[in-house]
Amino acid sequence: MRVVSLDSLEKAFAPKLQAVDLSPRSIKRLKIASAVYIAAAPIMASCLPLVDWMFGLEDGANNPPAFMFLLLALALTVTFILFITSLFYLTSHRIWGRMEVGAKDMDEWEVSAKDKAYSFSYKVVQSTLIPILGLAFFARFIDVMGFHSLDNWASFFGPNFFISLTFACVLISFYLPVTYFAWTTKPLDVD
Amino acid sequence: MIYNRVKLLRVEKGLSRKDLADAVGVNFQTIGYLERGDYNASLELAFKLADYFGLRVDQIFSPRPFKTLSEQLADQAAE
Repeated sequence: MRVVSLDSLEKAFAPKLQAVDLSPRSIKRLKIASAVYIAAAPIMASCLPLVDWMFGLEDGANNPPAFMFLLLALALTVTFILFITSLFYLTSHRIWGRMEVGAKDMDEWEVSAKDKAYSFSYKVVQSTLIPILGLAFFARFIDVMGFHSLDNWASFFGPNFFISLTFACVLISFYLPVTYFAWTTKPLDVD
Repeated sequence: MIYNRVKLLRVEKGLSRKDLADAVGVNFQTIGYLERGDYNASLELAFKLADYFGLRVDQIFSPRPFKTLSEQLADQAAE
């Protein structure tokens, strides 16, 4: 019986970089995917409450016309497809695969590029996400303590908190490093 | 910034980046970025390259720009 080794898994999912992975076209695609992802995320986040509101409307003369629903559904579908496609492209690119395998078998330039990318990611977290999360936590704390009963403690770590946390984790763990890599690496021509 | 003569020496030997990379045990992109001056080699790689080309490290890497061939020839003529 053949046992699948870690080395063979690594070769399959995170093979060595090829010249084509750093070509101008490949780097350009990475840049586009990162731009699409970061543009689509807030659009989707803004559309969802709108859909929620529209579906919650009762029948009445003042309701928006039906084509508005259709337009919103279409916009949301297109944004979702763009979001998922860019996410898939970023995570399936060999750059990301190589970054994920750690320093083992990585070349010195790869290790250096990876360290810089993760360092950038941490700096962004340190300077933006941590203060924002802190502020949100504080605001929620004040809200729970000041204006509602203690029963609201149950919703302190409600679904919104976990959705935001998941989004933040995705952003930190793969989006920021790959984006940093895409926008700072100069393409390498094949000789 | 550390200047190097890696590209010159590689082309002189008729090697591709991949050939040189395989010879010194790195990936092709390290040689590519090194030649372009976008990456500074580790001391280990610098010694491996020096060993491979049969030169001293300071003959391949320098903190100052290397003289061009015409400048070198002019210097020789002046001596």
